Amino acid sequence: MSTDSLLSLLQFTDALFPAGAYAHSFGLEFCVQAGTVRDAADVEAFLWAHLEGMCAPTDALVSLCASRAGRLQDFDGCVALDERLDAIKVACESRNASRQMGRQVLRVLVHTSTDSFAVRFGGAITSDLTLGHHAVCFGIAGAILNWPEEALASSYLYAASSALVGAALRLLPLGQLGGQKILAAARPRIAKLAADLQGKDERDLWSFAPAQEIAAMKHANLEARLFRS
Amino acid sequence: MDLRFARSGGRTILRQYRYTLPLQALTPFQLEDGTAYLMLLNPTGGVLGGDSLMTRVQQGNGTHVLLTTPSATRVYRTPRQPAFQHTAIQLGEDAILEYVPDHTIPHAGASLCQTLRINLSGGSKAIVLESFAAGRLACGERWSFRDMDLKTEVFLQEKPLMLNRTRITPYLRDPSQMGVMEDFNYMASLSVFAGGFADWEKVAKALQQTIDETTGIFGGVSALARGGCVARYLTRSTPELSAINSRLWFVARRHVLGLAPFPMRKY
Repeated sequence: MSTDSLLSLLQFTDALFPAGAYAHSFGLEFCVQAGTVRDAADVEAFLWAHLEGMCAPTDALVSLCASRAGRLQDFDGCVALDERLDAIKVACESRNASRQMGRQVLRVLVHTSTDSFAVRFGGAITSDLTLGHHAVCFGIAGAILNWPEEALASSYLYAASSALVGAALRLLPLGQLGGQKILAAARPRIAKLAADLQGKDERDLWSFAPAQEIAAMKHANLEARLFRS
Repeated sequence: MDLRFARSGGRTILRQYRYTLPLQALTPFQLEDGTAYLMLLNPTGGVLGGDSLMTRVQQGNGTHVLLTTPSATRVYRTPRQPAFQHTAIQLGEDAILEYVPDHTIPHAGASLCQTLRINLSGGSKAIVLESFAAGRLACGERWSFRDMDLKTEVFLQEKPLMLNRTRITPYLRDPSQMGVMEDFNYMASLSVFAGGFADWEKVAKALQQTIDETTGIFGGVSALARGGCVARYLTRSTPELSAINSRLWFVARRHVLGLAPFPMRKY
């Protein structure tokens, strides 16, 4: 991986990157309000269920598939992945969060590179010809910026973890150090999940984190909330 | 098993029926509104390792079919090969499907690969219930099966409305953990699909209210990106599961099909 590729990967997963992940809790806010997530150990368990049962086997795998399609300049393949992910994401707020974050990724990509494939896909999103889910757009960015597959998958999972821990820090009195401990403990598990995704394709997509999915559905009905999901 | 339904004189009739044991269906009942009410049977009492069961249902234009099972589907221990169970349902124009089987019970050591594929045409509607247990709870079995791979795909005119694949491998990942099944024993989804229907938010609200009014259930409802909505919920006991399944089905029936509740008598 060249230094430029590494730096671009850091840029696209940086907290400063305007994807809007800070506005989403992925159902965590509902669980905190319901009293099922109360401390650092609970946040760690919630994060693990999110990564292992949803983010890795669905979103991170879609990002790998989109990266492969992007490398082949397979526009229809990327649109099909977008359509597929839209039908997989049953919880309305999670689906909208994914679309919103993806559009931001493509917007930055189009404005910071001259790649014709990015411009074409960005145009398709703007014209509502495709949906622009986060995993698909992140994968296309990876194809254009030459991120190796394992780096792409692990950084996707790390960025999701960082966003979730960021939400937890605003919902619970964990302290900055508490948040960093959770992320440090997640690193080897993320590495294993990313390694396990190598060689897999869209036929291997699945998810199983029903309590978390239900929390994401119920979040829409909370009367007072900090987050959009 | 192949089942083909057609519309005849205001009623839905079973025009063609072919089967190979262990799959079988009872003679359909005709409901007052012309619906064909059919019970799918497996006389061996359950699914065995090495079984590869395929059910194909074709509904002609304007047909209304209600499919259910007489009791829960048991998946026995599969010491050598997994059990495969596939169902494909094709709905013609303006056809209505109510697919409300009882839940699946995987025994200790069971391995099940199941697919359900439903293709809707313009104007057609479907209510689909799917549910499973953590195991034979009365025998002390909980998450003792080997694995389950449950795939449900619903399309409207070849475009996906909902793609769901649940993979559970208790020996690799404990389903009791937070965010997964926690201390619940049953998971169910009641999904409603309709091509030309618009007011999904209203349906979702009515389903959510039904869940919220029922104690002991943890469940949420969401409208799909288009053409449907899904209620997903967890319960701890079979009576809780059966009660909420019926209540949600009746709410979906009333709001999307404009029909009164239909109390099935199975026992």
